[in-house]
Amino acid sequence: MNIDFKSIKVKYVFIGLIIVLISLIIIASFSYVVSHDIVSRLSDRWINEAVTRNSNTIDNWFVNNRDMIDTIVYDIELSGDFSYNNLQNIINNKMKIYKKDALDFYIGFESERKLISGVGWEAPDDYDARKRSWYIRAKNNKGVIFTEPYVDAMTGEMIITVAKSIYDNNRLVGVLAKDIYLTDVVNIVNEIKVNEQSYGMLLDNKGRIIVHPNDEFLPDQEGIKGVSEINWSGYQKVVKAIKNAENNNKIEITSYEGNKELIYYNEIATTGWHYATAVSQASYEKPMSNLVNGFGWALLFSIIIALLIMYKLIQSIVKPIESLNNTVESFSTNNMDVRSSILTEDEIGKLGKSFNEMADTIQDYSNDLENKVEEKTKKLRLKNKTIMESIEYASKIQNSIIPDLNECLDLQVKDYFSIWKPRDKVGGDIYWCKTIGNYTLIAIIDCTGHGVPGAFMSMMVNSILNSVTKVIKLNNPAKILQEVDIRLKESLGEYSINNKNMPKINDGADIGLISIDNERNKLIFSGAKIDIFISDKNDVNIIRGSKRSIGYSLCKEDFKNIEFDRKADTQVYISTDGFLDQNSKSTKYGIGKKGFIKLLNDIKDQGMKEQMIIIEKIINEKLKSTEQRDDITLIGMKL
Amino acid sequence: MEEFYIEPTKSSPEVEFKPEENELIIKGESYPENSFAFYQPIFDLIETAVSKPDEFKFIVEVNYLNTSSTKSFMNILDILEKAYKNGNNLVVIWYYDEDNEHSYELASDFKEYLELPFDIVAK
Repeated sequence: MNIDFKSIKVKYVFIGLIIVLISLIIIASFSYVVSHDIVSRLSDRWINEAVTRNSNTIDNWFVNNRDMIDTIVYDIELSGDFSYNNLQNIINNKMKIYKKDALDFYIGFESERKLISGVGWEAPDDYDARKRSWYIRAKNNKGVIFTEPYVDAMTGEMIITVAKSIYDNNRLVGVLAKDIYLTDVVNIVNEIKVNEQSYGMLLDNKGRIIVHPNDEFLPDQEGIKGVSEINWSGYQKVVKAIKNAENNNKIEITSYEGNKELIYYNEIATTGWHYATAVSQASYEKPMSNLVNGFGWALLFSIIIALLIMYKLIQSIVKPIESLNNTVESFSTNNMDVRSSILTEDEIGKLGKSFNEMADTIQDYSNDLENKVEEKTKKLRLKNKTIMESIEYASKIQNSIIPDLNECLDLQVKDYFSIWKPRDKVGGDIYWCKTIGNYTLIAIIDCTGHGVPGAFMSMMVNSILNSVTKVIKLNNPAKILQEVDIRLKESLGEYSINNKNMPKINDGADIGLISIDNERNKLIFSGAKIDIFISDKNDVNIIRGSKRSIGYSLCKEDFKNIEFDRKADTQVYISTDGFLDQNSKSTKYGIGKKGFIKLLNDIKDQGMKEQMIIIEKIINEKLKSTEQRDDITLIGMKL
Repeated sequence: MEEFYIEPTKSSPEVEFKPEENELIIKGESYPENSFAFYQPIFDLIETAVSKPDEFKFIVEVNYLNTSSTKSFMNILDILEKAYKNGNNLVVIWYYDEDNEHSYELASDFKEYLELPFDIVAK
């Protein structure tokens, strides 16, 4: 998927997403902290209650046993009959009643080495009850005592002795004792569980382990195991906490299996023992992790819903903007008829309306402008047509003064060609030809300017030549040029009225004249800034005309006639500068006079028509890639 | 005097007058429809420029002049020649490409008939 981060839609969805995310995370974290605290407190309270309940149950067991002994001793003391018989009867009787959980009832006597037993146990001869710990402890305590538990060698069960001294007034008669299995207590501890991953523990008043799920820690034949026997840091931490009565009856330890455990404990009042419940940290944290999961899902759902709402909302804003944007884009690509369809009362609707108004105005202007341009174009086309027709007609006139060389030269030369190529429809270049008697005069004329002004000049020069050649012989071309110069200046007005330094009209012409004198069999040339090129079998030579041109010129020298013998097969060429100076795309400059000489050398052995075709081909080739700069006129003759 | 500049077109040259150097440069090709109209402002400019005490430099670097542009150049050079004869300090420097016979011939024809400092320099 392509996401354009510059679009408003994406920008706002991202901003919204960040806002929602931040607020949700803050709320969730706060809620989690509070909830965690509450849940943890509730758990603690619940476990503590369970522990208290269990320790009370255990305590009840001890209280029952204590009370039973208390009652029996009380009854004996009240009867005042301390005879062996009576006492034997009493314990026999009690044994019958309590044989279910009592192992034996027995009494040791202070006055002599004697012991009577409810189950008829015969003490060995060296047995002196008065030296046994249960007897000594009971003798030294007013109330009921519980001995340390020990393991019965026969059954492997734990046995505890409950005992109380018997007094006849102030005289110590002996001590009543009862042996009972601790199995009930052990079962209570082992069976009652707070949760699946919890277990119970019972510690005596010295912190030694009485009950624990791990057999290794349990009392055995060698006695009960305590801190010095059990190498388990967690346990030692528990013992220390119990001794110091610290931490609100709850401590964290590492279990003997290496897991994190929480220990909750409570004292059993009757014996000063401690009942403890161990809960694994993982199970304790379980409600908390449920809480976290719950919050996680809630967060995810909230984000998805928030995103959907945001997307829809932004869509409702962006859609009209997009529509408006499409309209504007369409309008800008010249589809002037489109208008916005978003015309609601809000800001975007107002924008749409404003756009429509603006579009109306622009369309009006545009239509108006198009009409005006069309009108102007029509007028221009008409004007252009008129001008073109006018020039077309002028061209006809100019064409009509271009002589038919066939008439003029047919009898004078063996062959000839002419190229006349004005830059525009009409031009400043013309050629001219006249035969009177034995003389034929050919002129090539390059008037200043091209196009219509050039054509005007050419008409003028043409008519001047016509009239001059009526009075000056055709075999004196220099004289003719001189006369043409005078008459042209006369016609144009030589100098400006305002500035005597400036010529009035800056115009004139370059003219080349070749006269064929049949009388003397000569060729006479005179040029006003025009040269001729003569080629024979061996060579091509340039014969320079005067550097003076007709009209205004820096060079003031007189025009001169240059005479040649009229040798058969000599080829004579005369050209205006149009052909020589025409550039092309590949050649920056025209071929020039040197280039023309080289060209003539290359083609001099071909027929005149072929030469013309070659030169025309060169011209056309040049004009394919470049504009024609000047009118082109070229005449070639074979004598 | 102020700066003067005409942008070149296909048929007219670039014309630039630099007042600090008192230098007029004409560069490019010249065959405008009406050459006299094109060069008229240049005639006026030269009349003023040559009368300044600083040396006036007329730098030409044209590839092609048609017949009527040639006449206009004659006018410019005419003015310069008269100014030179009146004692004004000036020089014409005509640059040409060695391949361009047309430009060289024009320059040497002008030089031949004018009495003023005229340098023809191959580019």
